[in-house]
Amino acid sequence: MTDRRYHDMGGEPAGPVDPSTHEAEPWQKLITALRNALGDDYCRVDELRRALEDLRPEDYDLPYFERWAVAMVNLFCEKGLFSRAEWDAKMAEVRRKVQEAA
Amino acid sequence: MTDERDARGHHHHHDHDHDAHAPIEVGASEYEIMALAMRELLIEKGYVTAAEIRSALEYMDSRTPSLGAKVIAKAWSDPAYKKRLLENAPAACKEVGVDVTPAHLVVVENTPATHNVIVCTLCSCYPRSLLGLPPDWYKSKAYRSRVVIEPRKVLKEFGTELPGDITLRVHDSNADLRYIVLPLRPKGTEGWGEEKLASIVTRDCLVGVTLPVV
Amino acid sequence: MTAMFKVGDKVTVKRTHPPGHRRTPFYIRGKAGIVERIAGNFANPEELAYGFDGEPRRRLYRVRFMQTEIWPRYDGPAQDTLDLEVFEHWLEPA
Repeated sequence: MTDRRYHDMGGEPAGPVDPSTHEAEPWQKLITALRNALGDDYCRVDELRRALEDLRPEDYDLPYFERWAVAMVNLFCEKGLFSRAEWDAKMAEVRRKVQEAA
Repeated sequence: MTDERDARGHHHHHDHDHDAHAPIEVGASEYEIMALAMRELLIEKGYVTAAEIRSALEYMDSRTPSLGAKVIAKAWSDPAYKKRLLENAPAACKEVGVDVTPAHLVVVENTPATHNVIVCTLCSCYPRSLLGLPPDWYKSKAYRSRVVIEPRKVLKEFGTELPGDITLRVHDSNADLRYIVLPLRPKGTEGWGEEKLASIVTRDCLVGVTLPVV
Repeated sequence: MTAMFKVGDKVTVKRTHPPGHRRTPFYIRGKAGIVERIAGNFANPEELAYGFDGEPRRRLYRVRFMQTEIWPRYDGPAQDTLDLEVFEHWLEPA
């Protein structure tokens, strides 16, 4: 059967579980806080899940918060919170600021 | 041929000529930049304020497995409380000062004959309003894929070996309910106060991959 | 509106594979289990995911399955179970 979607992985073969964990980094907490602060008005959990599920498998395989970042930007553009052009401009601006600060 | 760009500005050519779509290596700093850029743009556009983001961060920091441990320690110490916790977990959590809204929390009880373990195979649903952010392994492909089909093997990878006469109940947290496990109070804890009891209830016990150790 | 199923009823998860956002995992479709509890009425995630309000709310059940019925090659004890939540529109009488 080929109808199983990539994120729907219960029962699939996979390697051993690594039981270690680490504290979330500030930017990872920020990603989560943005979702929570936007709330259901602008970023419903089910909408975000759908945006995550719609990622290509290679993007879905990114680490958790990286995957969230990509899906959130896609969702916000789709919902019209900002345009792709506005996003590209803001990314360039922040990247420049980060480089200057370094 | 359509030509779209994803969040990282990659061009996607949706055709079938097998042209090179080499994945671009992007370091974590790129995603950090994305987080900062989202924050700035969403504030500028007026969808959210800096104060709202700050308060969301503070709320997150206030949610840790110690809240779950407190609830379990009380249930171990007070049979009437345990009964209320199993019947209506959000109300019982509120009794000890923990508001788990908006989670529809369900507590599943380990007994001498039954062990419970929690997973979310479709994403990584987790009782965040009680325990905070889920650990890395809970979100991993290995855990999400395997714990439903070979739970005893996965538990062994956490060092937990279950006898064959124990019934193992896996709970896939796939829709609106959120779960924590009420572990069995271990032998050797007789006479312990709630604070000392809470000290042996770890996050992994609350998900059901380990047992409390005295 | 009364619940279509009650606790203890045997139910089968529909074996259907519609596109889009679904909260019924692939591995449980077509499998039969027993209603363990009625969880309540919840906004429909299949609508929420696309920006609709999720109304009318749908009844959600928690259903218990025997592991050996889900996975033909399950190698644990026969009494092991798996519980998950299934919306009423994904269930039919077994």
